[in-house]
Amino acid sequence: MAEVAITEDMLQALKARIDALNDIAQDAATPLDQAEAAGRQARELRDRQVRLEAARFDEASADYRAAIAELGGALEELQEALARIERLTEALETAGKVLGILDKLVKLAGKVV
Amino acid sequence: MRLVQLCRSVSVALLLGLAACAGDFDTYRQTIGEFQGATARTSAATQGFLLELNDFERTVEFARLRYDADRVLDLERLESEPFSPEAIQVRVEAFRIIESYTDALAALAGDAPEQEWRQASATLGERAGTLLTRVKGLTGSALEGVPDIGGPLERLLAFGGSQFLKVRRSRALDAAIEQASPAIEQLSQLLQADVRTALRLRETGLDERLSAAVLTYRRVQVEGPPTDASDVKRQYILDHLERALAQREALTAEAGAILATMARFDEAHGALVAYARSDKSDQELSELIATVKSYGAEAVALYRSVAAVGAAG
Repeated sequence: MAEVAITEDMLQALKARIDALNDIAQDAATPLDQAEAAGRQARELRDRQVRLEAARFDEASADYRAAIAELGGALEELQEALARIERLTEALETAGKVLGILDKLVKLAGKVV
Repeated sequence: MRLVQLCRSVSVALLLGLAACAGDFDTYRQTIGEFQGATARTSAATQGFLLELNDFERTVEFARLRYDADRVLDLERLESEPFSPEAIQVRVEAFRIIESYTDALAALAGDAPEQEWRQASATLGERAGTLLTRVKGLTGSALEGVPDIGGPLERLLAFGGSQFLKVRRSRALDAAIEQASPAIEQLSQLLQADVRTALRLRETGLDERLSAAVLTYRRVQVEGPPTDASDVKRQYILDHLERALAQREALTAEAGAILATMARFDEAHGALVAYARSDKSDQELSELIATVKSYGAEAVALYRSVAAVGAAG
């Protein structure tokens, strides 16, 4: 038997059916026996709803894993970019140190002159 | 002298160019910070909705046992988890990685390294000034007329260094936002579908409880003239009915707020992507700011309402 994908439309239609049965069950104008029968049917359908929703929930996990892996890759590159910016800041600090060394050299040269 | 003037002109031109590129970066940085804060709040408020899927099903089974005296008390059924813990954990991971992504964006946009650079360049400027003074002292009249550039140079270097870093940060942010965009969009769609699942189940679960309360109440009424025992039962059912109605009302408000905030997340993320791809005009920045602010306000309202519901038990 071919597998049938559980779609959101399908789940929404099932919920609409359960809602309609609960409306009948809660309506004071419905004869009590019929109202109780509608309540029972709503419960039975809800058990199936839970199973179908849980199955769709499980199925979607694969899509989640793929998207998480993809975002993980982007996150790694983002961390590398952050590290590059930090290295750049360090390089600029180093430039300051080099100038400090030059400053000392000039000081020494001044003594020589 | 001409050489000094030429160097200064070229430096100023370069710095103006950098400043133009990074002119709105501070506002962009703040907007990314707002996006990060709003996403952390949305995540905190929404996670509970998904993490409690199995707990909610347990409450449905307890309600069935309360209203149906013939129902078999099956402990295994009460302990069952229709939603696998592994699948729920994947959703937790999805929230975590989205938060890590927005945290990393905020870190990349952050200003700590620029402050370090400002300090470093201040020292650099002081040293350059000292160097120039010494050179002047050594060469005597050869540099007469050259102004003391220690102070201005310091400011120029501080400005130039931080603008340069801002441009680098801005480009890195654009690249990161662009690269992560498809995965973020997909995760957001998946999470919204799951929230709709949780919402459908909560609505039918609460509705079932209401139906059971109404039907039991009617049955008590038709079973015979009121007695002390039937009156106690009726009062008990009415208490449950009142709570179930309040829960359904709260659920409608909470679910509506969650879905609206998630839709705002999509809009704000879309605006971030559009801005990253744009030529960064003032108009585009204004649109980004407005969209992220709107998302931020929605996320704060959601976070407060969920916290209030939690505090009320």
